[in-house]
Amino acid sequence: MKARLRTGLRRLAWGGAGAAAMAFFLYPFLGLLTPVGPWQWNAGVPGSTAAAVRVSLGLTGLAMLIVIAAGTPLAWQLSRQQGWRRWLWEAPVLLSMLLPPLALGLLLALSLGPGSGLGRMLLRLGLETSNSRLAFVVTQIYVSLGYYVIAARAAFAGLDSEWETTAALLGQNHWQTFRRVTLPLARLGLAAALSLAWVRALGEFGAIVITAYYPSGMPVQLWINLQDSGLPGVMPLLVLFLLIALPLPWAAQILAARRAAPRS
Amino acid sequence: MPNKLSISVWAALITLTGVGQTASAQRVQVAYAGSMTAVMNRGLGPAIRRDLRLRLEGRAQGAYGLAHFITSGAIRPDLFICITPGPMRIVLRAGFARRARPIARTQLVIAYSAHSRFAKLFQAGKTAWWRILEKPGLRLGRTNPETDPQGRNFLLMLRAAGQKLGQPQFADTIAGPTLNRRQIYPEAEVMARLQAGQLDAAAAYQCQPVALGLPYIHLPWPLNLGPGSHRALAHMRLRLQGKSYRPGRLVFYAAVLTRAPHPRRARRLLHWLLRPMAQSILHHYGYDAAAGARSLP
Repeated sequence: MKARLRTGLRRLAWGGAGAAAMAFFLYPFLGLLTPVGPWQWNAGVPGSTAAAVRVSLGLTGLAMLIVIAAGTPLAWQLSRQQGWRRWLWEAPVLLSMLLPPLALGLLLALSLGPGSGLGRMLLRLGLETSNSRLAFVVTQIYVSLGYYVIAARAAFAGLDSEWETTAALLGQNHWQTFRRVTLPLARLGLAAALSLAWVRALGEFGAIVITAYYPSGMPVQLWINLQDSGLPGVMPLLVLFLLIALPLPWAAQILAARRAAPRS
Repeated sequence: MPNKLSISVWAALITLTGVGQTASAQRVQVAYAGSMTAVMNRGLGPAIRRDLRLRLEGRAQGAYGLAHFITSGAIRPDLFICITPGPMRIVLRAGFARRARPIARTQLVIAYSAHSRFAKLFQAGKTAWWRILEKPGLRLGRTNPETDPQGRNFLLMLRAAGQKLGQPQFADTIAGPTLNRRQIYPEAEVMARLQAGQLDAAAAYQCQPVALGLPYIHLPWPLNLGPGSHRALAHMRLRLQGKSYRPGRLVFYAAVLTRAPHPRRARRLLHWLLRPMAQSILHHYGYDAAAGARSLP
């Protein structure tokens, strides 16, 4: 009886703590109920909201493809390193994540902008490296790649290497093993890594506002609307931002969980 | 996974998103003071497109920050527009512009929240502005005087008002300590908090409440820092972090930058900004004509 009571109390305490954390997460959304006057969907500029959504989705999508292509092999490589070699490989990745976004934006603008050697060279080829789609995508890749790599490394590192050994014994080469065994096994972790990178890139403001004020993605458009029309121009974009940012991480998690389910 | 992505998907995405785009033929990039966002986005931008067939790409930020970005080479706009001569002088001294033309002027006002319990007092116009600001419980907003000229100008205005009223403690009564954390917010946030009713009143340039549809009251000359006020208030000084500041001229200056990617477009735009069409748009958004203001340097 006593034991049951104790279990019940413990459950109640855990449940209470969980509910408090949930309430904490949801509390700021009460701000959406603030009476700020009629919401302005385009903050006085026709089509600006649709353009910001298009820019954010299209360019972040492209950035994510590059992040996957560049980050997956790096993460796998990192997961196979031990000791000082691992720290050496990880240091630049962590460096990209530790920099405050504003500092990163300034560094990117100085090293890649029109005043830099590389920027001048690319400009001669007709590619603008400041306030352009190129600058937007490069900044997004830089801010999100580290998150993807670290999460994906953990996913690879958590795999049982026996599966890979078995595949190798069955005559599969490195690439075949990676493609047919490692990737499917790590799918759930990779989906989580991609979700993290997506959210990080989509919400990036501090660095992008320096390197690519144009084309304005949703976070910069939020800032423009705040300066242009104040809160009535910000509220609708906030809601839209949530509706757009959430589906991919959710879908990725659900899809990965479903496919992983038969194996578990 | 990347190995399954065909080249055609990549090509389609790159084309769709236009990452490899070359320099657009008709854009003109303008870095301007954040307080001009509304007039640029809604007023001047569409008119520039119509009249000059140029696509305005603006960058609205704090003017001092922009000036430093420009002189460091981090950004390379065609035209730079700022308020007060300070930020423009940074650009001029570094050789990034040769001459800055005055294009408009504004004045210091007190914006207030329509939701405020003091709104009726402001609206009625029977109580002096300084008496309302003195009311206990009034939540006042202003920008950081250490980083923002508007914040400095407001403190200087309060001190000048104190002198005129014969109340040397007036500025301290209203503003409290220089960096009063109950009053200081970033520029865009001050206006947002007024809209949300979290502040009762705030220092503002006239163009800001006009653009947001917020109510405001005028200040008497020379406290509004209108034309000629910098001479009338020439004796006023504000010392902050070892530097001495005087009341600024609330004039908007525009300069074509020497490293502009599109100098010809920038010159066309600057000339257009001085013409009646642009001036009437500026007027509509709460800006005054810059008559009497001189070019820099």
